[in-house]
Amino acid sequence: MRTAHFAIAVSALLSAAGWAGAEAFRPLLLPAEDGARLELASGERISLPVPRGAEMETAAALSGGWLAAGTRPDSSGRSEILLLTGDEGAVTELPPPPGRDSALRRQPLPLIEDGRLAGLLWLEGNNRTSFGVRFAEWSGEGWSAPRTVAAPGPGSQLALTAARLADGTWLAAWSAFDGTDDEIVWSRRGRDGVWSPARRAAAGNDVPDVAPALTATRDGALLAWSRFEGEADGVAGEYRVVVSRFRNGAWMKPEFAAPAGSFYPGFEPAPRGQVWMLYRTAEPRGWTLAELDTRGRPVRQAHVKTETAASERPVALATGKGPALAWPGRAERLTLRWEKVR
Amino acid sequence: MRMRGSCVRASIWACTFLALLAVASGARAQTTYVAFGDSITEGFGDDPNRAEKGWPPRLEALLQQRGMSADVRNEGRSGETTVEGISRIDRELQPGDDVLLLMEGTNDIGSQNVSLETIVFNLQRTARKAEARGLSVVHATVIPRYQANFDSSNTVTGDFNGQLRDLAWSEARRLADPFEVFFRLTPNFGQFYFDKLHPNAAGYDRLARIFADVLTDVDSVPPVTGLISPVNDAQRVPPNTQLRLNVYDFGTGIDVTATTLLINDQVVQTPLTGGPRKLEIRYDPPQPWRGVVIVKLRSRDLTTPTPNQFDREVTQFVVDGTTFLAGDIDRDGRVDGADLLAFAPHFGARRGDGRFVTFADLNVDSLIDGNDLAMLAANFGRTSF
Repeated sequence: MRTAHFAIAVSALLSAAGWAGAEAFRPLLLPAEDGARLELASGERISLPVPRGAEMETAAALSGGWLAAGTRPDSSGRSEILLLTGDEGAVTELPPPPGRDSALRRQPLPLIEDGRLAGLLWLEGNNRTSFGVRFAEWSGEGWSAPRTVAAPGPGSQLALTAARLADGTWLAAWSAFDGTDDEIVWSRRGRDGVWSPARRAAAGNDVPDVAPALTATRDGALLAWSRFEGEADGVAGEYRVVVSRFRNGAWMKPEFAAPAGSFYPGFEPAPRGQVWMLYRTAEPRGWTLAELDTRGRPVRQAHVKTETAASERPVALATGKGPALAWPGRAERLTLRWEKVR
Repeated sequence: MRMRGSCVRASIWACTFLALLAVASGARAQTTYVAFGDSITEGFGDDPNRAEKGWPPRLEALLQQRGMSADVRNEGRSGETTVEGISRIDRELQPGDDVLLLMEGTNDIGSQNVSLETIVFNLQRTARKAEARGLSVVHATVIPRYQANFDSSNTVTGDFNGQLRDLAWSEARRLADPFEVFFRLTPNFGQFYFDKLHPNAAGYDRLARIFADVLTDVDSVPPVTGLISPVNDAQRVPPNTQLRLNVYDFGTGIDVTATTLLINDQVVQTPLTGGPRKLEIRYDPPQPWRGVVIVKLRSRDLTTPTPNQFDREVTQFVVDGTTFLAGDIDRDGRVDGADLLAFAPHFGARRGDGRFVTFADLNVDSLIDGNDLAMLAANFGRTSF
């Protein structure tokens, strides 16, 4: 319950750049009771000038600077996107994308290309239970007219995630309530800049598929999420992490990549050639870091027990002694030991 | 002597038998409650001097005061979401457990990562696991957030609790309603809070009483709302949208004859279907909606001699095509004396104060002051719809 409001930007730029061994390198939003604080790659911490009631949700590295994104309320109960960018000293507020079509904007997700802001995905809707997905390009000077990637559906669309593929195109995924349960849907932005119609990443089922995470690989992408499964007679069942591989423009059938009682997967920047996935486990309560092969299957993993809340998500680091987990805003760091997955 | 000795032995055996019987019957009479949830069940924020924290130990004491033999086991876990809880429940239930008291969802709502429907699904599956092991289940709405950044108006939390009431009713489970008691029935509910999410000692006292009332059939909660459509604060609602509202009472029942619907303060005639436990209200506007629509419900339950009353707004939505002038506090399309009166009580408030409301902070500087008043004055007498 001690919800610390921080989120971690997993910059496609950095993972694609083949970072290989330094430690903390990405801007991290730190837990803050009020306002927001950012920890830069240098270790410097800065307070972000956000209005009260604003929520900063994600941060990303830019060439020579950083970008933080969140939302702010206005007097009529609407919410608008708040974008702050800065370098060593100065902080600048970027305008939100124009052409707001609805009252509420949430979960802005910056798309970073070669160290610069290239665009923004966000959720937009007229009530809290019916968001669509929208996108606008950033030219460096201003925004393009927003386009709708997915119109509001019969229920919540949440948990946006995106990754830039090796060919320069973008994939986005999110969970969408289809009137029965949450499903994972996706869209691809081609070289022509057009997002494809949103489609399910896996066959529909009658159980929740939630909290997706995307990462690019050499020949495509991996998509991980939490799926409720294992129910028998309506009384069993738990969440379990599944991974699907994107190759040649299509998703392969998702496979379980973790035991029952696993959830909230996320991809972590990893040394060149590796894919690291971090997920939460119920028993023992804690976090597991898994190295996946190109098909999304775990080849080795390391686990750490912790009683901290799932909202207090650590980041993975590659150190000289092996992988480690660190928690934003804390000195605590745990070195992990890989174990082969049989 | 022998005879006397036989009598003594017989008496001892009889006493022993009776004592064992008493113990056995006592064991049967004791009810074991499993309080399952997050840090609000575990007791974060409680008085640090208390040995046992949270509402479960207080509930146990209250139930014993009310003549029940009860054991309430605290299985609260800080930071837990329903996604995790659905796994943990398997490990926490023990043979002999009788009743699951299930209050979880606050962390899921805060994560903004899963839909309200999924949270309710998770609680349903958690409850079913307990029922499969012979326990009965009491759902509990989650308490409101207090001056939190996310969902400061508790509209999302209110929506979730409405869905949870739908679930409890459809599964014929009992419901404890801390949200209703904290948010609706308690002026200045901040008095119950340690921080933005967690109760203080007084809040845990109150939570325990809410559960104790449900478990001892004391009805202190009026009829409550479940499904509401359009949801509160919905914008750009199509003008011919049907209004849908479910009303429940988990205690003595709804006094159907005393239940009326009001649209913009006018009583409207609409058929009420259902019965004293659940009423369904479906209202098609005779003319297309326009402007801001404020829907109120008046009702009461069948508690005697003093029914629990319900008389308040249940949803407010903005019809597509509606625009507002700065200072149109009551959103009636005109900036006038009524807006000034609505504005005045909030003058001087800062965000975080109990008196602060976003609709009066016209320039969004987190302070309701002369600058906001000047904006209202500039539009005084003007209309927008």
